[in-house]
Amino acid sequence: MIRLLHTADWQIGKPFGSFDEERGVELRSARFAAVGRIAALAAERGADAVLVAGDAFDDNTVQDRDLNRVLDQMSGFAGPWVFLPGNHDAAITGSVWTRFAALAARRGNGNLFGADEPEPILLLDGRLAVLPAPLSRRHEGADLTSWFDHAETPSGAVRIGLAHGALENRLPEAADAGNPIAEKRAATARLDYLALGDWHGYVEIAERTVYAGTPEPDRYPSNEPGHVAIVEIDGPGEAPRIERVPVAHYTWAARTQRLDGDAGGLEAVLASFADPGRTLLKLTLSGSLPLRERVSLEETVRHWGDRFFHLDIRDDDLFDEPDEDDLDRIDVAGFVRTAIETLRARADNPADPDSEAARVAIRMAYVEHRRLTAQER
Amino acid sequence: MHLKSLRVSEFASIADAELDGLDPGLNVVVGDNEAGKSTLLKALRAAFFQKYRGRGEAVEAFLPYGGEGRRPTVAVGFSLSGNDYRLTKSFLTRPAAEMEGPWPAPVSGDAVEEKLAELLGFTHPGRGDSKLSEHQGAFGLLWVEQGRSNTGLDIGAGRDAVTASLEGEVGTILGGERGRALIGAAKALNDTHFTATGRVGANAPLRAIDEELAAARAELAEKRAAQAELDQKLKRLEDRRRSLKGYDEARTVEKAGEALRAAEATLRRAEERDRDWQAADAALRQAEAVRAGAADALRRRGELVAEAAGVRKAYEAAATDFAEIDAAARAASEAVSVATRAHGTARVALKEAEERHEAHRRRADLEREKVARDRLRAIVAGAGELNDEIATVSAKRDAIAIDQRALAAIDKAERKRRDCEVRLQVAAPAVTFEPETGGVVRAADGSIVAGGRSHRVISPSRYLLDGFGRVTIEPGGGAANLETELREAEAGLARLLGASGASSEADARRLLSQRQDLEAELKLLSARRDALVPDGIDAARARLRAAEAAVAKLVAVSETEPAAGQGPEDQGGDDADTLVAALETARRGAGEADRALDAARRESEAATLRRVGAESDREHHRLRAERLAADAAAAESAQPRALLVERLAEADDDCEAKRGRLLLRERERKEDGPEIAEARRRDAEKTLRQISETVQRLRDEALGLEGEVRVAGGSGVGEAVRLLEERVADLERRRGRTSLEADAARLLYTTLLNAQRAAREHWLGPIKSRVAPFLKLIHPESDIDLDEETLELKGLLRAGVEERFERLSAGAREQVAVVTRLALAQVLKQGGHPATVILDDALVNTDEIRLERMHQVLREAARELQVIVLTCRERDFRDLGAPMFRI
Repeated sequence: MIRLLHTADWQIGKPFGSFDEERGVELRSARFAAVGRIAALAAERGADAVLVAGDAFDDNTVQDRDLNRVLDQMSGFAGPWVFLPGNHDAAITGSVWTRFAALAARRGNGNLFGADEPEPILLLDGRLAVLPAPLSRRHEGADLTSWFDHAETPSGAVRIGLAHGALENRLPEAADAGNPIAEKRAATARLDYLALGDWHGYVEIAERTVYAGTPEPDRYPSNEPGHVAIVEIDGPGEAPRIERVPVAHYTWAARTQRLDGDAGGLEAVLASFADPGRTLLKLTLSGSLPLRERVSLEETVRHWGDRFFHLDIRDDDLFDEPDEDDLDRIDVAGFVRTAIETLRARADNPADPDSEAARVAIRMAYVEHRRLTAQER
Repeated sequence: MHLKSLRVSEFASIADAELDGLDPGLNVVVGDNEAGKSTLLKALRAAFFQKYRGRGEAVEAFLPYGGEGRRPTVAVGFSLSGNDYRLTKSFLTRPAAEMEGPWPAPVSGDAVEEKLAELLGFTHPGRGDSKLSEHQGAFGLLWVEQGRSNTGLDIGAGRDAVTASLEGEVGTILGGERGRALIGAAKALNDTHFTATGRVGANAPLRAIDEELAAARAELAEKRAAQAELDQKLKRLEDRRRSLKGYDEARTVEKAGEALRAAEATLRRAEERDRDWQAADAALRQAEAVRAGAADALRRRGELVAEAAGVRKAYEAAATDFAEIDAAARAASEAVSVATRAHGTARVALKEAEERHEAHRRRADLEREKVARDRLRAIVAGAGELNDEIATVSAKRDAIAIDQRALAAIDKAERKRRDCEVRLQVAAPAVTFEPETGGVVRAADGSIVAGGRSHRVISPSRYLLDGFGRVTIEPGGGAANLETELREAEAGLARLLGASGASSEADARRLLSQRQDLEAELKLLSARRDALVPDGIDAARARLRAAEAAVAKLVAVSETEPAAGQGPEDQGGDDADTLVAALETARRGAGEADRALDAARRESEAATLRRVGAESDREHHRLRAERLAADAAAAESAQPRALLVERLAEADDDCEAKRGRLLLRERERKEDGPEIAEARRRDAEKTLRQISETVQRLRDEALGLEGEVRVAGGSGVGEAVRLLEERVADLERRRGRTSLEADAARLLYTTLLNAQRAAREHWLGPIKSRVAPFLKLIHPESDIDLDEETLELKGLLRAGVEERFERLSAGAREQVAVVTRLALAQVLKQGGHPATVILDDALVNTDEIRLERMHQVLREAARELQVIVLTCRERDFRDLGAPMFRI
């Protein structure tokens, strides 16, 4: 029996530039930590090898320091690590692989296998044959796995395909189709298992064909990232036993919430997360709120913003809908009311280029008024 | 709004009071002082605006004096917008509120307050009642309490109270203090983003974001450039590697190496052929040399034999010649002996002749020398005499001291003296004494002066005239001077003459002539002496001494040879000639003998030489002939001529064979020569070098690029680019949001300002237009002046003259204020606000005529408004024709 740990898309060196510096650093560090957990898991489960199906690195120019950190984290598993160049770290001239291999050699790591040529890699004394389809540029266009069909491997060896790209007809249309992989490749190439990378969510997408996804989520789409696959194969032609194992530290969640007149429901949504300190939540709000609710919403967001690791509120579709009550709170009469009415009219007029500004202005007036009132008391 | 009824109980000073059936127009409520008119107004305010559960000072004031446990209660009946309402509020003690209205059941408690606020359009203050005047809204304006009624126009109250009140009330319409605060806040917000001129401020958040954005974009551009550069390098590196791979795969370098090696092999073969050719050439040349050697040997043998024969013949001829020459030489030697003897004889004869001739010649010389000596002696003597004579004459001449120059000076002195004398004679007075007979005239010296003729008196002269006495004549003027001059001239002449040794001028001349004669004689004597001894007498004397020495010498010589010399001399006068002739003959004989001997010797020597030459020739030829004969014999014995001939033939054959081989090699060499092969080798070498260089260059470039890429490769530039891209995107989002906030702040501020301005314009115009007709009634030709910002009453414009409000009379002020309030109430009513005007003793300072007019104003206003006048002066409003209520 052969036991493999299949992972992919580590994206080491991903910058996270849209986060503030502190969070960016934490998110970057998390990716190294994920490698450490993978190594520990592989050791714990007695894996025979770790297959990394592409995009271990976010870019070919990733710094040597980062490579060393990866090697540090990998030290927990002494068995073979097979790395496939993906679209982010394609085996182009001057790719990260040359440096990575050199650093590993310098450190005396002999368990690193760069799968940068389309030829079988025989491991475990010939019991395991890995057929890699390395990318030598970002977008190959052609199916690099076609050579698997005719690849000769020792008769007793388990045949494992290792590829990076989009399995045809299986992934959502949104998936990057720059590197297509034939839908039936596992069957046509008589593979016991086809380990795929590129799609960041874990998905057993076809027979004997699995996307392990990224072990540490790096974006919001809810496609179940944060796992690795532990695959057991008893021998050539035997059905693999595939286990999905969570390894993520951070949870990236995206929610949409419609608020109509009342912001109170949001509290429950935010409170539903078990570990907000390890959660990145992208909350898209829509609907409309009276100003007082809007103000209370902001208070809620302020509170939870500090509790979540990161709370990204997208309120472009959430509109202020000041009602009479709001306006009465602003003032009984006088020019203020007239001004607010003017702003309301402009806010409600989609043709007015300042309608958005008018909406915010009303909210400002409201907030300021409340503030002034509070001062008076 | 129409206040219909009011009932007040246990409220401050009022125990119980009721007004019922108030008219919708004008009403007058009359009460004496302390009757509680103002309390009524206070109660009315309390009912509408004071929360029934309120506490505090203001509410406590509702209690009647000492009224612990009392229950101040106010009940108001009113209609608004066509609906009737009944409101009851009790304060402090069991506070309660209830209101009936157009709804099914009366509302009570807090709901009443809310209803009221809604109906009357005001806001309850959150807590307390400190802002009661404000929160009651427009009613504050219209319900004018006593004291404040003069609309703050109370004479006792200060100007501030007046204006603050009015402004406060008007401000409420305009948005109030809070509105202004809001504008302030909006301005602060706006100022966060913009400068006074509407530009983005230096410290604005937008500016900061823009700067951050610009920096991020610049950095991004830089990083992108770095990435592009890296990509470029990677591309180049890939290209170089591909090229190298192409060279490797095509084995270009190896092939070129092989080609070079092949060319080198070809070259080596060509060089071998070249060496073969050179060897053949050398062999031929050697064979030719051998052949030439054989031919030469044969030739030399022939020559040797021929020479030997020739030399033998020459030897024989030479031997013959020698014999002949030897005989001739012997004969010549004999001839020399004969000539030698003849020559000796001639020589002896010549010597004798010469000796004789020499003795004769010496004697002749002695004679000649003696003659010369004698002549010289005579000359020296003559010259000595002449010298003596010259000395004598010279002494004579030297005795005469005068010369030509001295004579000329004497002559000149003489002339001068004479000249002085003549002039004196002319200038001096002439005295002629003509004494009488007998009379004698004597000069001073006693000499007698001749009479009858004139005497020139040239100096003071005294004459002694007989019988008369003495006469002194003194010549005057020039005569005296002339006399002095004359005396000087005479002295000069005498000096000159003295020097010359002459007594007179004539004597001087004679002396000079004598001297000149002596000099002529001297010259002659010198000439004669010089002719005799031209080079001086001393030279002549020297010559004489030499001549005497010569004579002495000759005499000494002739005394040594008396015999020999005597003979021929004795033989007579022509002995000399004979001697000479004999000498000549002897000389000729000797010369001939010499020549004959010489000729004979020469002949003999020549013969001897010829003999020696002939002998040498003969010996030479003999030796040569012998040697050659020996050589020829030896050569022949060593290599007989036949052998030599045979060898030559052999050599000829060998040459022919070698020549044939050389031709063959040469043909081969020409066909595939080393030059061509070398050229090919060089080409191959060049090709290899070129390719190697290209490959090396590619390799170097690849290495260099790899180094650069290694350095740049791990720089994380890709990560930096994406980081910056994301940051820029984030900043852009933030910028959008901040920009929106800025726009909103500006929009809010400008909208508020515009609204404020519009409100003012909205109120100001109507108020003024409504005030005008009222004002005309009481103050014709006048107009009010309202502050546009605050709507504050600033003053009156009467007949174009502006009068400030606070300087108006108290009466005028209260009139203007009331009129303005009425106008405001009208405007408010028109704007849909509830408006009832209550005036509490508002016109106390107004004169009768104006009060009359004010009645008209009130009546006019009451057509549209409910007006309630509270007064303590019933008669002032008696004629108003309004319902009267008493309390």
